[in-house]
Amino acid sequence: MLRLIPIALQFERVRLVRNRVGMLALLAYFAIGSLSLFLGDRYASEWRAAIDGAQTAEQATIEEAREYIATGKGPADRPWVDMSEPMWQDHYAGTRVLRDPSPLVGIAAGAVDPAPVAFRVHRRADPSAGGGYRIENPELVMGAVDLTFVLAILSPLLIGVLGLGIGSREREERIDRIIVVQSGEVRPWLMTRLLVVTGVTAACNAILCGAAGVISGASLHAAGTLIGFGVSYAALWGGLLAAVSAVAQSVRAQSLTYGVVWMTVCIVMPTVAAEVSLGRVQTDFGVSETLDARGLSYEAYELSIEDITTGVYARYPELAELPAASDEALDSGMRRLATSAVLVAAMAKRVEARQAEARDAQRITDRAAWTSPAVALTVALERLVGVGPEAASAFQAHSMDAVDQRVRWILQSAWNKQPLDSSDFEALVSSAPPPFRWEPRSARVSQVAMGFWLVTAWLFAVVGLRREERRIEA
Amino acid sequence: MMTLIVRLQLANWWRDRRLAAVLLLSIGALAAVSVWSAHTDASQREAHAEAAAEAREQWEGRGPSHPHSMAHFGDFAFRPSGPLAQLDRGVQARLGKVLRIEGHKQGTPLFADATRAGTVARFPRPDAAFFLHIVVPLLLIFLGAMGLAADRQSGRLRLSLVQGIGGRDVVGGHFLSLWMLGLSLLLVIVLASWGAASMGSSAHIDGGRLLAFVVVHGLFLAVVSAAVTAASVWARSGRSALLALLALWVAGTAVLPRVTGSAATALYPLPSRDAFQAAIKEAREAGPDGHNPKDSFIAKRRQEVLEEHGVDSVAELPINFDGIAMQLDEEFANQIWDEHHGKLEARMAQQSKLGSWGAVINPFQSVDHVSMTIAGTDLLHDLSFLHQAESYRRVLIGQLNHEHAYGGSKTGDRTFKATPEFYASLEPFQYAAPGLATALRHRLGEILALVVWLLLMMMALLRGGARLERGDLSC
Repeated sequence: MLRLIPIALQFERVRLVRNRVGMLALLAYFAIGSLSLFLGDRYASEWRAAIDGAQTAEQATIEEAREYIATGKGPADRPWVDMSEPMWQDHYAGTRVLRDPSPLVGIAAGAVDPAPVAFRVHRRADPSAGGGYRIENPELVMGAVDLTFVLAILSPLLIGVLGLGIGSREREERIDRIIVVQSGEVRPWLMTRLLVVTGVTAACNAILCGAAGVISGASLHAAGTLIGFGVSYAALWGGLLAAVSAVAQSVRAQSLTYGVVWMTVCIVMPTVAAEVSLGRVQTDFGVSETLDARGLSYEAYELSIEDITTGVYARYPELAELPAASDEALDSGMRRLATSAVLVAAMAKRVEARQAEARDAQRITDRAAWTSPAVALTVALERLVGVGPEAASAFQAHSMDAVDQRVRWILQSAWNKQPLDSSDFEALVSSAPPPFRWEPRSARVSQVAMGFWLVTAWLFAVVGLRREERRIEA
Repeated sequence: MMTLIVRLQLANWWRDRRLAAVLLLSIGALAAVSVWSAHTDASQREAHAEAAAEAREQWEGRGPSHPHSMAHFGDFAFRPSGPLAQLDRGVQARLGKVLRIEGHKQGTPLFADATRAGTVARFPRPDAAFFLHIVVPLLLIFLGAMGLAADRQSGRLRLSLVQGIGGRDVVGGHFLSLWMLGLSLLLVIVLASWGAASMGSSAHIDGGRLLAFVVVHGLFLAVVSAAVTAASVWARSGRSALLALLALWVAGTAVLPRVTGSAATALYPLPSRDAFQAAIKEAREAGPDGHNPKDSFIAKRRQEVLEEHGVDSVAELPINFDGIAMQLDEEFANQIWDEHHGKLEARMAQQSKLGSWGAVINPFQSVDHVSMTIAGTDLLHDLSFLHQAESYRRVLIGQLNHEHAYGGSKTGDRTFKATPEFYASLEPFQYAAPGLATALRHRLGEILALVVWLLLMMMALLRGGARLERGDLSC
């Protein structure tokens, strides 16, 4: 079969040059791919700009606080601000948890990502009450062009346009019999042609993925992984085209069957998965985060001091060793801080419940990956670059930890009963949580699902072509 | 004669077992999707009503409270489903469903379904509109593009023309049979939705909007049927007609909407949420702060009130000045919000306008936009909800501040509590979707584009029929 590759390459080149639709499809594919790269780069720049803005705002607050500490006075119109109190040091530290973008973040710019890129940490901060960093026009965001869309939805169409007619035209025009008579077998020739078309599409995907890597300055490993996904996805669809080519008796039947396969795998199955997943949350109006949380926040101020301290010492046991723990009664300021700690504990539980819900939703997506390679590739790419609901959920958990740590620091400082000074403030500023970095997660389910589709499709194609050959021989 | 051709075509489809199976499958899928959508929509409406009732119960159950404490206790505006959301869910999944109503601040709607549904939430949900905009046109393309080609190949077309059947009758017959098939699928949706709605207690269907939905989709299906028939008449072979139509379908459904959307976002970028909020915060810092007794704006207003009452100190005032200070803060904040949110909405309008231009050249986008508007699940209805919720917030906080100022307490009196009857007398939030005519006025361009497309396709059909008759086109 190897010796047929140069001939098939030459054959397909001539066929492509003569095929205006194929040429147009190829040009359109690169045009839309280039647009996706441009938009992805823009998305990454906006993300970085939002982070820069957050860092500037943080620095401005810190400078303001340093001035107050140095002069021993708060703002002119707020003389009650006392920087020796942990509550005010927390307020003026302006700490932000930043979400470092992966260089390749632009390839999944169309993902649903509900987390901000910078989250301000303070004792009352709620990681679930925000939203994504972008304000979006909902009518436009429903269909964004990103590289994930180009690879997952459009590359199968490209391979279809380039490869339609292979096998089916030979059968329709009965050329397959002539080939069998002349060379003894038709299968290697058709397989080689299908491999060449697959190779052309894989090369197109590799060029777009490689360009995404170069534009974004991604590491060789990340860019290589992306190229690997692009190439293997093209190989998978090459297999599906080959499987269709093996059974179709006419070009019309081949185009119809391939169209149905594309429609089912790229449109219908993902929308069914979306229906299942969205249907589960459709009736949830966030009552636990809104009505229940509001009720709790008012009830907490009516709790007895014993209930409050029991809850606080259970969550932060080290407080029991600090001077304030031996006081007969907490003063009103400390009681207020302890009450907010109780509320933060409740908030942590709510965030945890949402994390569990997000994991459930992702399990549905993982199952959907088996039914549709388009879903599998989308999940794999979002996991690679850290955009989408999964990454957003991880950032929320990271932000919640930061809030919890901040509350711990406030309580420890208050329970120490020592006024804070500039060194405490600098220590607080320097102990800001590190930026959140998404570690590319294994998309094992997606990879296995894609591998399964790839192997099955090519096996089906090989068996189908062999059967067809036997039929001709008979 | 045309009726005969229509009957013949329908009989041909029915006789082909594979086609009949596909048609039956489509009818089954459409009916199932419509019933399922009506069912899930009814559940959502029930959940919405429960949440709103619970919020009201909490509000009325607070007992005697300080009005400003109640302004911070606040309320929640729960976003209801669009009036015809069971047929077209539009952008609903992307919109936050709960908006916090509170003194001093305008919130962002939270808990959008898409943010909690995993990676697959980036794909659309399969509702009736999805089938009518995506799947049914594809079905019509496959049936129509090859239909006339089959007549051509078998010689039936030549035979018909020789026997004196007019070319316009032939193409008209093919067009009508395709359109009737599309309309019958539309009918399945309407009947299934109506049936499901009349069975459930919470299910809801708006007759006027349903009629508009049927008319607009009938128009769209006519455009598709005419385009398919025209392509099959004008193309040299059924195969090239099919290829061209499939390319147009992919461009119209998957590529053009995304490209125009992305272009609109790139040409008219919106600020990031942080930048938007920081700009509002900065603007607000230049105005009164109701919680800050040292604030210069508040001090000025205090002096004015003292002069109005002819007293020297707030303690001598018969009213509570703190309520007036809070309302001053509110009114300034409202101005800032109107200015910044107004700019944001203007930017979104520019984006949507570009999207509408895209719709002019792409009937798939036109019908998508109009359908969302009829269903009440588009940007216009989203903004209408936000405006009404903000108006409610302003009225509610204004009433609370009024009670704070003039309800019988004196300045600095934090022990004052208004009666539960007063809080119960404040109207809850009620959302009323914009009227259909008002909503459709925003989509006149798209509706007009559909009509123009239909006229163009009809002209192509008539010319094709005439040329077929004259033998200028191969038969």
